[in-house]
Amino acid sequence: MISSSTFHVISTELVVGSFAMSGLCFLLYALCRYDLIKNKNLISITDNVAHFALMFGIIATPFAIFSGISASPGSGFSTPILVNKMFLSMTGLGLGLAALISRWKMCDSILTERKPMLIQTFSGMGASGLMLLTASAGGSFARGESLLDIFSLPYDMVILMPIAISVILLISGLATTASALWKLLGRSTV
Amino acid sequence: MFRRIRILFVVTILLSLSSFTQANPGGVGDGVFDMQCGGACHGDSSLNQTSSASISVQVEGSPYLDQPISISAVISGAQLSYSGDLGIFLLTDITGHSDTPADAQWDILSDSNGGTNNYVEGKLLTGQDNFSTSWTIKPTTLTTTTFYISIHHGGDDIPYFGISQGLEIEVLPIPDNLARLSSDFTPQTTRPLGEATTVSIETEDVSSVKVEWKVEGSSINTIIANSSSEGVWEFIAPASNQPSSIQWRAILEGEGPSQTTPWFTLVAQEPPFEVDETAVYIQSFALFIFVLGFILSIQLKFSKSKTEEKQWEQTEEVLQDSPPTTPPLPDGQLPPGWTMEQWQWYGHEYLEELKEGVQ
Repeated sequence: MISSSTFHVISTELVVGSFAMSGLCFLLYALCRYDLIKNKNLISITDNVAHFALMFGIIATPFAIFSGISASPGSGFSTPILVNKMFLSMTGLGLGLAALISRWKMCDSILTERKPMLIQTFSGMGASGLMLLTASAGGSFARGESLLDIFSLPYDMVILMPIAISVILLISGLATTASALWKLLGRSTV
Repeated sequence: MFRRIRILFVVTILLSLSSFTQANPGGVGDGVFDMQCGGACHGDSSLNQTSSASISVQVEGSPYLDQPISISAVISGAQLSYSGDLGIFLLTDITGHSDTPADAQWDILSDSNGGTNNYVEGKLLTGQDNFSTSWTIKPTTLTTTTFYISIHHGGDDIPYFGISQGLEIEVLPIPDNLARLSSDFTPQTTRPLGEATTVSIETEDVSSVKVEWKVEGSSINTIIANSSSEGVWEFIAPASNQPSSIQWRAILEGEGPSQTTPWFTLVAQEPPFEVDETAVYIQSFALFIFVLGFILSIQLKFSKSKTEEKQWEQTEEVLQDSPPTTPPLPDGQLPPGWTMEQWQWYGHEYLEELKEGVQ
């Protein structure tokens, strides 16, 4: 048995590595599609790698989040950085999962049309960016420094909404997700 | 496919929960807890092993009714250095519940971390072989109470538990004219960084107050407190520019017996960060589910038209089913035994065979 801290380090390295690879592949995919990189083989390769890496990162993310809460000193959210980490990682998880479900249920169609392809690549790259920001915040918390410190990111500021607003957002999100999933699952049977 | 996803989802949740509900190696923060929590906080109290650390307990001050005394504990032992983190309880019995000082009619005026909790956490720094902590408490009834110090720490992936011998304290009535602190005196326990602090002391039957204060590891300084109004005395604690604590005590003199108070702790610290954890969890999940739903919805919207077109698109089927172009009739009429429909589909083969036969 290993401690929560060690488990957190293992899971975060998996998450960060997977999301970084996924983000890079989404970027290369977009560059290929816009003919900034002229390599037809790369389109298929980056599409596959981006989504598989994204799936792996998403599977590892809940382990990283909960082991991080368990390993943090005192109560779970003893500093603003930990709260921001939670928000960033959960938003990134939402973006990543949306990209993965879209690719799974809509197959190649979202990569052939311009707008869905743009949304897909931005979702994937956004998820990767948010996860890397989360890792950067973790570095600031644990070591007091991070590569992204050059941007002076406001990790010490927490934007916490009133519970009522959060609940409204949660309910609307649940309704939207349920509706979208219903349509997506129904679509495959037509 | 759905079965696999369900299994994956359940396994993920179970693994996450096991990680989330295991022992708290990082501690749970200071608070007012029963000893039972010491077991529950380690996941399962039956997993606890007996700590080999030694615990010595000392009482300072006379236990008069409504007058503070100090209980200090020194915990030492090689086992503590495994993790360095240590949780320490001040308890009034060992049944595991209803065992806080408040349950035995004692008020906690201060603890060594600047709070008023019976459970405090500390960290044994590298090179240290013992850890000290103290509480200033006050009896509110004439009673006899047995105090215990209980410790919890980790090591070798095993939670350890230890408890001291009981220390019995009998509360005495206040002697006549005893120079003493006022019964409603509550010492200030925290102060902001970088500001000198005026500390007030409310007293009864006191004509002069001398204050001794010290920073841990340095010598004792003595100052005379000034009377600001009847029974109220004040002294100024020097500013601290970094998180630290000073300890002070008052020597009270009057017509009756004089008395020295126990040491009080005044902690200089940045205001602690506090957040409603429920609000954080709800907002986090709301952000996750909202982003998920939003992206799926706009993907559906932009790819919808094409899908509907595809659903009714049957051009390929129609093209496959439509008959090929009718070949020209040889000599202007159908060959014997052929129908026009057969000629439409297979006429070109007849013409090719005819052509090959001529050649």
